[in-house]
Amino acid sequence: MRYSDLGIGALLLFFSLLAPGFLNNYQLSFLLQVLMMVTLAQSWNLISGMTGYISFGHGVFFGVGAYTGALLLMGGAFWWVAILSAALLAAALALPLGLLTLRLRGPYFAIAMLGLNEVGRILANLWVDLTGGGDGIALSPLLSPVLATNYFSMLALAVLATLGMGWILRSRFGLELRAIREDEEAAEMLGIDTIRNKLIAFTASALLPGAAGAIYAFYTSFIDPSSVFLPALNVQMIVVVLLGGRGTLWGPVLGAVLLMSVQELTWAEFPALHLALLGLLMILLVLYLPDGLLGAWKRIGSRYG
Amino acid sequence: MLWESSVLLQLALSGLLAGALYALLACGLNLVFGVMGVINLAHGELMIAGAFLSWLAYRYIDLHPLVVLPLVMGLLYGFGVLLQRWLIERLTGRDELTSLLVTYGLSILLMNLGLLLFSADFRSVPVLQGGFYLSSLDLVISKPRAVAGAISLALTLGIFGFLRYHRMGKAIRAVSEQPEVAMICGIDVAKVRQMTFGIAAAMAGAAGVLLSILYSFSPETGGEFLLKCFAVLVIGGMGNFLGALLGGLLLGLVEAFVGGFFNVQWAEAVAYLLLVLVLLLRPGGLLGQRHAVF
Amino acid sequence: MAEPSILEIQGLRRDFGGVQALGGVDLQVRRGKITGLIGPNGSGKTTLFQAVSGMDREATGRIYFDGHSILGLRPSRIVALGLGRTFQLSRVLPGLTVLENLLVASRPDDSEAEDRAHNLLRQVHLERQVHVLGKALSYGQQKLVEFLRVLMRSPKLILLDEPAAGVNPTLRRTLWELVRQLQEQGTSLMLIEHHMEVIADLCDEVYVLNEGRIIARGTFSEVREDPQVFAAYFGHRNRTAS
Repeated sequence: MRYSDLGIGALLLFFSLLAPGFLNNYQLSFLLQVLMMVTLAQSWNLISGMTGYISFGHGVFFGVGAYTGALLLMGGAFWWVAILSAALLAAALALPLGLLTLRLRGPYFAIAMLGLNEVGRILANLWVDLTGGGDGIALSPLLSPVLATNYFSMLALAVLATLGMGWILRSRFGLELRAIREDEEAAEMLGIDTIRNKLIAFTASALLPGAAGAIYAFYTSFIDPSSVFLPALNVQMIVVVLLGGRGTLWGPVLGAVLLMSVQELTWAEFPALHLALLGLLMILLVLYLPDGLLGAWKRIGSRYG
Repeated sequence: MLWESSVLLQLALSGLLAGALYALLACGLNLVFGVMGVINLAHGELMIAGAFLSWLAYRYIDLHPLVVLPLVMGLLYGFGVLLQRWLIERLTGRDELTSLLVTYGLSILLMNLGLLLFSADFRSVPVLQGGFYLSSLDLVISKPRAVAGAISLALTLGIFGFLRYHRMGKAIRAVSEQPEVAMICGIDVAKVRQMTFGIAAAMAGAAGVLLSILYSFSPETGGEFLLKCFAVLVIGGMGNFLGALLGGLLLGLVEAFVGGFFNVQWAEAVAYLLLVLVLLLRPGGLLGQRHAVF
Repeated sequence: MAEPSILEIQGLRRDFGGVQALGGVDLQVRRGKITGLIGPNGSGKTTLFQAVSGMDREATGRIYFDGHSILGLRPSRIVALGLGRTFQLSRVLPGLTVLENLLVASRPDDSEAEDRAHNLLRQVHLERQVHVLGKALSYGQQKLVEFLRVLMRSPKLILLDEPAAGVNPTLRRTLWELVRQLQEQGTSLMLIEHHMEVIADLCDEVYVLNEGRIIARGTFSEVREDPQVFAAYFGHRNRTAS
């Protein structure tokens, strides 16, 4: 990572660490959700921003993580064991999915991921014995970690996600992923095992959403199929990355802060309107700001700098 | 008694009729993919737009869906042309992932506008009741199913004929196969693309009207049908019009038999299972020569 | 020393929906030699490269590379065995810098990759373009970078598909110098090329492909005299006779 990146990171981290000291519970909750979005967006950035394979169903890993975390916690597991297991289970789900779809080129992966969030929601509704179906799961407040703990867990995830992204961007692995995005056939012909790389990226990109889902379950202390397999969440992580800048380190962070703040102040209370606007935003970003705000900033910088 | 020939025939016939609707929808999706290389993830929402137009006409001005069918097709044709001119045309020459993101955004936008306007309640247009009794075969076919299936099939075949034999249809095929050559030959490529998207949208709109007399629907129904369309396309071959027709009929047939022998919930899962199965067994050659497959 | 040929192709066939692109090709590339592959457009030269490099795994027959049977292996596996290949049309990774284009093609355990990349770029006078994006290069420079990329792993055999097409004469000379240097260092090469003076100049052995079959094999002067080759290039003899 470059020094400027470390500087920005340290400043953000410093503020986030002190935040519980001067923010009220509502503000802290909001910040927790921003950090959650940073985590989700970085994960999406890894598979879709880096390799160009668009995952339309990444929310499914969050939902699976939420259920895993909630059930394990209610079963008596330590909260951190529950989080860890949620991450691993989400990745374990991603692996066969990736094996099935990432051998194929082009749009197959996107199509296969398209309905996945919805499939997750339907399964959670039908598998009543495990999930309680539509009644959901209420977590006992005696077992759930307190808000500050959840906040710091989410902060740890967001830091981990961003550090991981920073490392990948500087690593050979990241270079190989970018080569795949540029021209997959040529990359393979240069000796890059494209399938293995895509599989690793995809599986890794499911880990942190799984963990984030578990923490989210502790934080809300009640989950049901439609609150964790939430279409809005699924769409938001894509829009956040597009807004900030695909395949960049700080794009997802910037995008998360901006989008979450704006929608909190305006339309977040109206789900259909919210999603309609997210859809519109997605179209506009792809057409008019394909490199996101960071890309535009760079372009302006190089023109006048 | 499930194995009685009349039951089998009954299942086969109603399966084919249901499949004809999938075929109509999938052929439109496939047309856009074949000509523009764009996978229109908002195709299901175009269908739902047709269904709601049919519902509005029935509810407020008491018009029969079969009367509004040509009107809806015209309206959606126009909407499709505008979408192509303002939105999809900007995607030509950019990678297919960009077009996926844009049509995904469009799908979310349209679906949620639908929810804002009509809420998530299920609607239906119960105009046709009862069934036709085919005495020679000792079969009863429900009227909505027979009418919707027959019209779907007729429309699909009609458009296939248009593409194959009409001058404009030939222009569409030229643009699909050799856009540069088509341009040199004086074909207005942008116009042809608009027409293509318009036809696909009109097909989706027609499918929506027919859907409205068959099933109950909500703004969220489109996504379900889109996934079924993908199963159809993967079975029949992407970009291949007749393949999509046969794939649609096949999906309807399999769903009917699974529904008849097991239960209806399993029938709903058939499309996904077929999709997975084909991806596992025939990963190569599905997209034809358009894409190399590793 | 292992077998005298580094690449051995036996009975290679490939159909595209009933159209026969390769109809049973037998061919050997000898170690340390430059083998030319010529033939009219559409004779199956690139199809052959596609099959050997693993990009197209639908062909049937046998392909042995350095003692390994490679038909059906993915390109990355074949590259790991020591084969390198360039494309007819430049496939430089457009969004990566020149240096990144070279580094991504190096062996993962190569600790001197960066030095090697800089040295190669200096050799072809591209050292000032190190941090330029692939898409910002001229077409000729792109073809050159694509060639250098292949050299990053020091492959045993390099397949070159018209490496000089679209390259200006100065860069072209650099390119052929590089090819000769490689051969002197013991690398085997196989070359598709339309300029016969290049083939005459560089190749130790030439194969002539026509309609998916090898119609002649030998030194360039032997092949040039072959009436079948003349017919393949200038029209069918029996047709002109009738």
